[in-house]
Amino acid sequence: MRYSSGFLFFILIAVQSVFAQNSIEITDVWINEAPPTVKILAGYFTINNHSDDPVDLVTAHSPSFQKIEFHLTETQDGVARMQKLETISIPAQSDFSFSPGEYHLMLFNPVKTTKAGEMISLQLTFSNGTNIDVEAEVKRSELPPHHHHH
Amino acid sequence: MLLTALFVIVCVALGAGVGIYTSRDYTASNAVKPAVEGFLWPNPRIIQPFSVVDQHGNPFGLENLTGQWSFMFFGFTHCPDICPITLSLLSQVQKKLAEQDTADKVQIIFVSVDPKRDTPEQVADYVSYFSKNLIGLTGTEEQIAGLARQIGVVYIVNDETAPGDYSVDHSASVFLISPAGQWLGLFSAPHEVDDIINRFNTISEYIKKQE
Ligand SMILES: [Cu+2]
Repeated sequence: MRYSSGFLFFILIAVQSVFAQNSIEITDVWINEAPPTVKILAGYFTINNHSDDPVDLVTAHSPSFQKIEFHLTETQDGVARMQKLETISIPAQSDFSFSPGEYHLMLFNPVKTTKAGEMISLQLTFSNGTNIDVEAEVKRSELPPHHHHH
Repeated sequence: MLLTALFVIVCVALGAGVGIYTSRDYTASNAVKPAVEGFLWPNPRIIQPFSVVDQHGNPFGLENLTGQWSFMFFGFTHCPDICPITLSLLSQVQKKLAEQDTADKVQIIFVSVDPKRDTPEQVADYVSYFSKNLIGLTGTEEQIAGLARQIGVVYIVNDETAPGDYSVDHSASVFLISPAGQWLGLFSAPHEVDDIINRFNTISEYIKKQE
């Protein structure tokens, strides 16, 4: 089968306009399972801002947790410290990742014990008024991505 | 001019002699200190007797460190980000080391820097989640401070943000203690399983040649 380049171009434009409608996408969302007695969990995801404007992530809510904060783990002189951030700014046309040992959702006081395999609803609210609902899978601790120090 | 040249030649000859002498000397002691990041040889710190409790409420002291290698990590159970990552990673290190032919005895130890909230029961639930072979230590605030001070571990208990909610800043490093009770290695974050294993293997090989 052969398609004319004009047809391919049409498809490309169609795909792009779909993305333009969903200018913010949330991908790779997961929550780190914790031992049953632990009342604080961490969640991770990537925000893809496809729009031409910067946007701020302002709040996160879940019916499964009493409170959610945005945190950054920073290691300075070998000492790790968690810092609370009010908002997360995502520049235009870029991705922002929450990942182990860095940015994370700090999920306080689960309403019940959360186990690997469960799906947790999260609602993320952005400064432009966009609300995005996502389902986060609870997974067993993953190792951080490889850091190379060559 | 000629004298200067002669002087230089004599110095080079002497230098070469010293070089041969020292290289023979090294052959005699059988190994040159390997270039391993965080290897504290030739000045390891000898751990002094201490007393804390393990996750079963049993006393744990220096005698529980001697005779095997220990990887120690200081953290707290209400730490959802780097503590679980590091403990999962160390459990993998232990598993991989056990599969090696030259299996040295290795224990992985989690020390709570939040003994107020981390009772032995809480620590037991926490460490057993990662591996049955993990050891979890807690104690009085003075006992934990004493052990941490010996290994130069820094931690800061922050103010409460809500009743009972507070965070503890703590060292992200992994500390390696030798079977002779010497603090020999400081592995700083971010950690990688294979990197820690390679560094450990090089260090333990070298230490065996010293004995
Ligand atoms: Cu946090």
